[in-house]
Amino acid sequence: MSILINRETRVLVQGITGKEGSYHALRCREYGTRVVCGVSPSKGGQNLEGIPIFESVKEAKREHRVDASLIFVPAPFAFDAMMEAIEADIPLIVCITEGVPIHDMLKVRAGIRAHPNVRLIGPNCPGIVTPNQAKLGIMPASIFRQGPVGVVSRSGTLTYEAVWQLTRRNIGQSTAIGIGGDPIIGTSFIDCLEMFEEDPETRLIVLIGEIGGDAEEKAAAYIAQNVTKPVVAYICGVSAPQDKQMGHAGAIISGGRGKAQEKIRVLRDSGIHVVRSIDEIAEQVQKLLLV
Amino acid sequence: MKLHEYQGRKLLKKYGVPIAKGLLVSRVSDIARHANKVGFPLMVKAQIKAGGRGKSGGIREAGNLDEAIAIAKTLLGRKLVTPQTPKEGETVQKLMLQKKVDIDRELYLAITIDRTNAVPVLVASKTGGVDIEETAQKNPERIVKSPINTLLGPLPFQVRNAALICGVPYANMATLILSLWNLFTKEDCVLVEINPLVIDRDGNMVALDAKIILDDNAAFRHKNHAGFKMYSENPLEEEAQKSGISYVALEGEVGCIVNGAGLAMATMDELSNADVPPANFLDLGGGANDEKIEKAFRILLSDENVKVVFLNIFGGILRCDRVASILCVAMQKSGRLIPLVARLEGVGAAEAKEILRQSNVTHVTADSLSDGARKAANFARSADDKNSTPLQNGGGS
Repeated sequence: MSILINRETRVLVQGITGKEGSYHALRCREYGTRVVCGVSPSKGGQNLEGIPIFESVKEAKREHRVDASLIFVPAPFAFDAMMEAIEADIPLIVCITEGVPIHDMLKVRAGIRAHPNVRLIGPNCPGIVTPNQAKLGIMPASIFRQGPVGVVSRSGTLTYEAVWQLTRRNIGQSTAIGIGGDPIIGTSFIDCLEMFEEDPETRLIVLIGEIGGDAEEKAAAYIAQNVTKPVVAYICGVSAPQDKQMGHAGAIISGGRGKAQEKIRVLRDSGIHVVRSIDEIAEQVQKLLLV
Repeated sequence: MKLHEYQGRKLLKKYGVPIAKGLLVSRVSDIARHANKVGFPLMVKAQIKAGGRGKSGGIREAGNLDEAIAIAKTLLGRKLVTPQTPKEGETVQKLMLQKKVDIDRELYLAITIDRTNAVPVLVASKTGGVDIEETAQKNPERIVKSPINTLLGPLPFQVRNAALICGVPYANMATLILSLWNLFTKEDCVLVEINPLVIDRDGNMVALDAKIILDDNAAFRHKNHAGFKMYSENPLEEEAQKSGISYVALEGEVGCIVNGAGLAMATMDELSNADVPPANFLDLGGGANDEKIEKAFRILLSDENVKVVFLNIFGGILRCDRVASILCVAMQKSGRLIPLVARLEGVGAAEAKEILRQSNVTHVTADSLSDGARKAANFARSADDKNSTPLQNGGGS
């Protein structure tokens, strides 16, 4: 089953003519994703190696059924691109763009409320992969393998690390989702946990968090009440200094809040296995799957 | 970007928020001229970004010019240590000479962002001049928090509730909150905090301090924010910031070069676990060009604390071999023969290992973060051990 995307998902790429957009649209298609069209204002009528390009999402939807949009539009224009996809009621929107202003995200979150059937993932995320079926984003395809582990993470590179370790032990993944490193994002850990809990193909969930905010703490409370499948977690930034942004806009300990140690404590108190080192994830997963 | 008080005041003034009269000085020789303009008694306020100035001697009253100059001499150009600065303190480059206000009451007013619920929040408290977190803990009934509708802004009933708790007339509070909201939204602020917001003996509201944090992601649409930019006190961080490199200076011996923020944090954690702390956080990012990568290495290698380099690259868009060749060149140029632990996976990993083998960089390869951390610890211990034999070049594993 997997969650969010599969081999049938028809994808529109916004920003398809840019350097990032064009490169990754083709890599996604190579992986097997049905990249059906792209949007790039003022480039309507062109095509990218056979992928038709339209002026607008509206125009694209007239000719193609679209299930998801993948956004590679630069930060100053990403808000508008997200809103265009939201207003067009595209059910799944994945925004890869890093550097979106926080006020733009406040507006996106306000604007999306009128569209309850639209799910936004990101921004500042690597996207989603359902192994052997589809890839929406920039994750390196070769590390994935189909299997029973759902992966949800705020960090792109740690997703790759965890997936790589699992694949090397022949433990595959159902779906891997990068929810993004920004303080305000479209989809939370809890949203993904809910989907993984309902997905018959997922037998165990790996959750990767980091400093900043309280998403992990909220997830811990949710898991205690609603998730029956085992969860293995890793939280990075235990050694991070306070009040410094560590790469991701959302990775900052402010006013003493958002520390990794606190997240680890809360997760453990809720019965979640938290590994001390990223290298221990696959081993812990293996133990729990054999039980 | 956290602004200094004097920078925040500029923005408050721009949006019509009443502020106490004040002038900025950078030199003791300017004090006389400016102090007389402001008038006595006045407050001498150290301009540092960290909070906690008041309790650490960073805000002091001067009754006359001699006192003002004496206070200035103890502050200007020196490092001020407060509970919120790093342990060595923050250098006081400028002072604000602010007219002493005859205070009747101190309040608190701020607009911030609730990231959990993705909405702006108005926070008003009848207790100003103290840390709002402290009030929240001890006297939460003195605070009113109102989530603001992003698209509608603060509504009259919310202004009313804030005015009520603060004991000020509705009209005054409405004007002030609207000004703050305009500032908050139009300048892309993450926080606008006035603490204290005072009521003087004549019943006027005056902002006695200004704490404003601007969203760095919005810098592209605020050319005027460039003038606020002040780089880190740490010269390596400053250089990194100027080149757009994500770098944070730390205290340890192992210089880290990683592609990816999460992986970089995990690398730091792994080194700390192995008791060989990192010298820095450095995220090369996926799309770095050759120039930027070279710059990053140069910054790292110029850090005298660095005794070992830990290179951790999961190659994707950024190929391992590209990074490896740039590193070898950078090491040659720097003239520092620092041992390297290289953990390379993904695109270009095999080629990268070959490049390192062919170079004269002392290195070992690692196949995981914890393996890399252990090897970094070994190198660090050899570096510290004065009786060790010199390391052999081109070592592989």
